[in-house]
Amino acid sequence: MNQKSVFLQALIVAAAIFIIGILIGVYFENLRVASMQDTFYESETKINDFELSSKIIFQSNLSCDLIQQRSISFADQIYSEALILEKYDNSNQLTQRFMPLHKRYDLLRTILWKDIIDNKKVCKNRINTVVYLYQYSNPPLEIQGVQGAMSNYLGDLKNKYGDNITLIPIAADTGLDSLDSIRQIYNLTKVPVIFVNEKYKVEDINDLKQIDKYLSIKNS
Amino acid sequence: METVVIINLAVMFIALYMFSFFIILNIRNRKDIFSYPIATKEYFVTVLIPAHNEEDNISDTIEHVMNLDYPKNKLEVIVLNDGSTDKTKEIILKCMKKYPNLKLLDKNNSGKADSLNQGIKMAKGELIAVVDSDSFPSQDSLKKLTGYFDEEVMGAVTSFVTVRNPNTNYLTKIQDIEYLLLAWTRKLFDFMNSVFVTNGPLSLYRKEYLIKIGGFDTKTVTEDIDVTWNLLSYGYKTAMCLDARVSTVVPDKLKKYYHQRVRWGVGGLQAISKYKKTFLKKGIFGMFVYPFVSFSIFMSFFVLFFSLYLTIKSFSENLVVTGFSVYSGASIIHYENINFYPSVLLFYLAILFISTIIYYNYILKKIKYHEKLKIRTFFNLIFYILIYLSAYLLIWLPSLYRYIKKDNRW
Repeated sequence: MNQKSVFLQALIVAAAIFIIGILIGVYFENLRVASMQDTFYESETKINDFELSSKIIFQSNLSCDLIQQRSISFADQIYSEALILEKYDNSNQLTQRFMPLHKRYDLLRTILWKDIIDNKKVCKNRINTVVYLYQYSNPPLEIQGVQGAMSNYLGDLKNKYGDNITLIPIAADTGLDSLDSIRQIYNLTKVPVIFVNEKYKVEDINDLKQIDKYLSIKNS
Repeated sequence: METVVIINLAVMFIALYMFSFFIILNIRNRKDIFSYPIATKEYFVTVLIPAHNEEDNISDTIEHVMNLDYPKNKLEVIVLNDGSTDKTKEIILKCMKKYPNLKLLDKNNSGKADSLNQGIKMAKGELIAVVDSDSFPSQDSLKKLTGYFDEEVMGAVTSFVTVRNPNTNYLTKIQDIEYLLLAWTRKLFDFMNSVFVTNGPLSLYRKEYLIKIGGFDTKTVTEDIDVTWNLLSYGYKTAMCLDARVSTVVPDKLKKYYHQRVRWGVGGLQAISKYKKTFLKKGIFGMFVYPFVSFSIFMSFFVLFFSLYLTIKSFSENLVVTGFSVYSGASIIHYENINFYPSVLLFYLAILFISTIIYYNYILKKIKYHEKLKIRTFFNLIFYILIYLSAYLLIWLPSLYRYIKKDNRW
């Protein structure tokens, strides 16, 4: 029996399985992007709603507690979405569609941060904001280590204080002009950095334990 | 797409291609796997048994060879005592009393290849069978091999090696599975006229062609690979009979096993270097066997170094994060950070893994490894695929080192 055709047949079979795999992979990656996009649109609507409701509350002299409640709940939602986005981003290897979505989420978080800064001016520093600026693209090994430790520490902090802090992680290197402007205002030149209540910068992992002191949390 | 992902996808495609190749070859030839040609004449066969310090097994090996189901007037058996320093010689002499037609070539230690070459000079047979002194051919094995030589161009035929001591420990059990799967794969190569190793435990050669190619090369550490490649490069055919069985004693100690496998690795590298000029020349050998083996070895090195790179990278990243987290008093791991979302590479790995398990199960069933495949065999297969084959890649490092150092020790 002439066996030479086996080479070609094997190539056809391998190519077919390979292409099916790629198609399935792209399909699932697109599903993830679509699901994240839906979540994003919802969050985008929420932030517009949040901005508008904040204005109404200020104009009507309603309670700052309401703004605080809403901003914390919204920040929590965005934080949990950030965790999912990170996982999706790591699992998606064929398509690069998460990069722009990541950027849009970072913009959303920057808007939230700016809103909270504005609200704080009116409501007199009731909300504890912990903004974490990190390097998204190809951080060197040492920076990865620092970011990993910071991320773990902030996770612990969130578990410890729950609703008492608003944790906002933002990638600092996605080219957002608005974020760069805020960084200039607060002189946040180094990344990664944890910025607490728009006053205290933590750039070194030796100083992570200081964050507790920077937070104004009343013991109940 | 990142470079690492592209490399991973390329490796997956090659693995898929290789797997598809064997499956298709298997499907096309499924009815002929165990068949063999019946000889039209009775060839005179000389069996050569090279022995060096084999006091534990030599008597049993001689017993098996002398009891081969083959016309006694067409069978010559010569034991080549290669300067043994133990009781091998005494045992052979004892056997000679029992079997007066058994011959002995007692010589100073000069290595297996040289012993075989001296044996060939002595041999009267038209065909030369080589049987390792720790191997035990089944009664009907020789008869089943001779039929292939009715084809004028046939240079060598090899047999199905099984493990004599599978139940000694886990190492021998895994080698048992490995030998069965290797034999099956070798048979598939037979359908491509590309059997590239005629094993030491039992192989049959046409003496005329052995002499023509200069016999066994004394400079290589795996004379069985070399002689096969040499025959193929001369345009002679090689074949494999899956129904001719021979059992052999495999290493039961890790150290012995390691030395054996490193030697095989060095032998493979020596063969690639020696026959490089045949690349893409000289029929099936240059066009398929040589490129296939070279590419397989290259891929082994590539996968080894790439895996090491990825492992070291991931390990150092995790180490740094863990170290910094511990130093700063943060938790080492958060449940929310564990990623359960599979990537496309996992899809390919899953496909390959499941298909390989199913295929290997099929092979073991066909070979009648056990009448009924036990659940333990299934777990052994999983261990073989996931751990053994991955760890085996590491053997290539000392093999390469020894090859570069031109260390030809056995």
